[in-house]
Amino acid sequence: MVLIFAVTTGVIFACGIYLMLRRSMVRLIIGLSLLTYAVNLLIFSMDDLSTRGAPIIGATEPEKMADPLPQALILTAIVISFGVLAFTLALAYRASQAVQSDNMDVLQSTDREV
Amino acid sequence: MALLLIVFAPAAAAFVLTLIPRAARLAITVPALTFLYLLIGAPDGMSINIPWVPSVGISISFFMDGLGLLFALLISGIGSLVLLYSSAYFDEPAEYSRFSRYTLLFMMAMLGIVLSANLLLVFIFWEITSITSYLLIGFKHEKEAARDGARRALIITSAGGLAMMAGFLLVGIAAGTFELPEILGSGDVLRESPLYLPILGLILLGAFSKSAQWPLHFWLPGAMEAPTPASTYLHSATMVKAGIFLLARLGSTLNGTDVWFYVVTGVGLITFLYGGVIAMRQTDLKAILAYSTVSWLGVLVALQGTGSEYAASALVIGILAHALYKGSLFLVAGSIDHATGTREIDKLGQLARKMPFTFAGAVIAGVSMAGIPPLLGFLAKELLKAASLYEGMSGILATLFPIAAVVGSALTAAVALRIVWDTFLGSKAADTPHEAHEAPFSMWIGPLVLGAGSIILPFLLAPTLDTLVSKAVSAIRQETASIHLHLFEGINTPLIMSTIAILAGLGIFLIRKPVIAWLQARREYNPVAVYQWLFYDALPNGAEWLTHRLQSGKLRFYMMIAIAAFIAMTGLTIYAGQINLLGADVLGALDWEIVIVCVLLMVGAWAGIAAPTRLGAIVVLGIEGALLSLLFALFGAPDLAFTQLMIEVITLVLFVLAFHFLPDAFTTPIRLSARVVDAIIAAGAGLAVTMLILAARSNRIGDSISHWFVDNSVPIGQGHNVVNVILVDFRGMDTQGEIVVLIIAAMGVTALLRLRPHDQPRGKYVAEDTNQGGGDGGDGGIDQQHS
Repeated sequence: MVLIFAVTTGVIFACGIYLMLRRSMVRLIIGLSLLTYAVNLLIFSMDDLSTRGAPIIGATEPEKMADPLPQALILTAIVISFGVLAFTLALAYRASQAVQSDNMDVLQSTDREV
Repeated sequence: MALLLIVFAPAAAAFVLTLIPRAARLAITVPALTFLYLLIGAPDGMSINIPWVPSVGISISFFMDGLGLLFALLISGIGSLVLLYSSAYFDEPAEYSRFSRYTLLFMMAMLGIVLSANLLLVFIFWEITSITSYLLIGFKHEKEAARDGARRALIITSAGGLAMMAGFLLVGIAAGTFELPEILGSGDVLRESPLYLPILGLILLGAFSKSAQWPLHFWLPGAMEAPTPASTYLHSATMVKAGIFLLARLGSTLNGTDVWFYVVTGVGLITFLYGGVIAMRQTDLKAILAYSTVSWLGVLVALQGTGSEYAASALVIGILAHALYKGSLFLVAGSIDHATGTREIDKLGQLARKMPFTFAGAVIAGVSMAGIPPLLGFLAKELLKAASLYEGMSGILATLFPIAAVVGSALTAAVALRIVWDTFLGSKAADTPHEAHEAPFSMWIGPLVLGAGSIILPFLLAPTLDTLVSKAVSAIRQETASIHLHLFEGINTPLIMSTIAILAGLGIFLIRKPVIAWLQARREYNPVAVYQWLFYDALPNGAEWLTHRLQSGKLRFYMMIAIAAFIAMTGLTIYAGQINLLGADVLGALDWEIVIVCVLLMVGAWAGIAAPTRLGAIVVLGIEGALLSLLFALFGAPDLAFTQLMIEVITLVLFVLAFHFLPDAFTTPIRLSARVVDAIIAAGAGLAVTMLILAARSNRIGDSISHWFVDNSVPIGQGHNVVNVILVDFRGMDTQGEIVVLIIAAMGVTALLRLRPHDQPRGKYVAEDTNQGGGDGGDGGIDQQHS
């Protein structure tokens, strides 16, 4: 089971990186989102993956529980990555106003003029 | 305790002066009291040791032996006179106060160097002297020459200091301790260490750069941009002798080898002769003094090559005599500059009648410098000659040393005569910007006190000097010594050599005009050109070239570098560590529903790349998020599934909103080769992550801590949903931090959306915003900008 998780994570990661290497600002942001998914999956695959009961005491037998720790870490990660995404989108909006383009390579034009 | 007070009292005084600048005139009491205490009351063998960073062997430890005492006396004694002198030298009280603060800080650092018992502490104080020297050379910071000189001195001496620190660390490795008394007592440990040559090279580099040895001497003449009291104190009497001190301090553990003898004596003698010759061709009084200081520093280095007892006594007397006469001459030069407005020796002359007290000080110092009996300078030169005849030397330097000693002494004598004669006497009247007048009391008393020292000390040989010299020589050689100096030991070889040197010096002085003209016509080999090339040409241009190479300004390029590094490090670690990737944990039974979700996730990720429009890409992203949430649900993580779905919805809304404003140029054509490179890097990164997960899951090195949370969720956290209890209770601070991150992100988003760039020219938002802010606040900021 770990193997398929590892491969899936790797593929999503690779696609995210490829998108981040594009010149389009929008593709960069989509790539960043994919990267976030991949990283969350990476943390999740540290779970044992053999027990699938929700870690709720009383509802699930302790030995059938999924590992609660990675879940807690991912929960934090999801929310933070949302904050980062919102900030990145605002930054992209601002940057595109400054350079009138979606092209990452022209972002440096503001440096050159000063 | 007394040692701590001696070292740190000047720093405390400097601090008081920053609070009460008008108290500058009282600052002199600190070094004066220190001097008196050292002279009369200080007991032998004081030491103190306070652990500071014991794990790496750094402690605040001080000790005082004869060598430390000798230097501490010079530092506090001349420091007192310099502070007194500068009270009249500076016309502005604010300048005087600033100068006093720097000088007191320097005094603290210098006392720290000579009294520290820990090598790393020595290094710290050493660098503080470099910094205070930088501040003092650049004292008149509105002058470009002062800034250049300050920077040059800082670069050379602190680079040397870093080399020295590396040497100290090696000493620590070789000797097993940084405590000086232990190192000095450890005999041949350093000499027999395989690290001996690196240690020697690095420490000599530090000492030579600080003590202005050829070819690193060129910062010292540049340092003459400092106010003259600072030149007197730092660049003649004390700081430049820190290198000499270091050689003397560590000499007993490092000397005795051929390398030591040839390098130390060789470099010292070259510097001795070079400084003497260059001093002759200078016309600025301070430049003459600077090069003659370089010259004498060469002697003090050369004397340490042999490690003989004669050489050690010559060293001690040489340090003392030089500090007295050269300090005095620097003060005299400052008084002349102050009184006449020039230091050009060609414009000066016949000042004796107008400045009688200054003249008296100059004559005594000049006679001592020329090595004319019965002053202290004569004794120093006698001992130098005696040391140059030491029989333990062999090879070509054994022959050259006595010759160089005579020639160098003759040059010194000629320079001394020239300074005194051409400035105060001579046939030509002064032609100076101001009419010359006698300096105030506090300015002429310094040279006279130092001069009195040069006269009286030789006649107090038995009671005072012998004790001090014996203590210092014992400390230098780490062998109990009992030195009895005599001003005249009858007619012997050193006396004959001294006589020849004085007569030759007189001869050079008499034909000085053609000699100086001839010297000035020669091209000077000047290592400063190398320095200029290195620090003003090669280094900036090289840095610029490299920066342009690395900083393309393209985000893609930076990311590629970072990702490639990640791939390389992960791959190398797994390859080199031969880490098992297919442990028992990895290959388990496959669950078909999971496989389907995973395949869909992979297809979705690829579709994100292939999507022709951005709306399509966003939809794909949404589907990915939903699939992920499904996966979480399947694996018993309902909280995750729910949160992921919620966030996914908000994200979609956010994307659609933002894209409304973003320019629509989703696909930009790019070369196929570039896409292939990108694809390879991306695939490599994906592979690295896959291997990372496999490696982590195949090689568990510890037990999971998760069961602790499960066991304690109800008893401690009073909650049944373990994930929630972890978030709000066990790792509550994490969640707190997460909230802070969200707030910061929200503030960032608000700030970004509120900035209005349309009506302002590009690249100038910041400046304009500042002005607006200043206007609103109504404080002094905006007024200052306009005034």
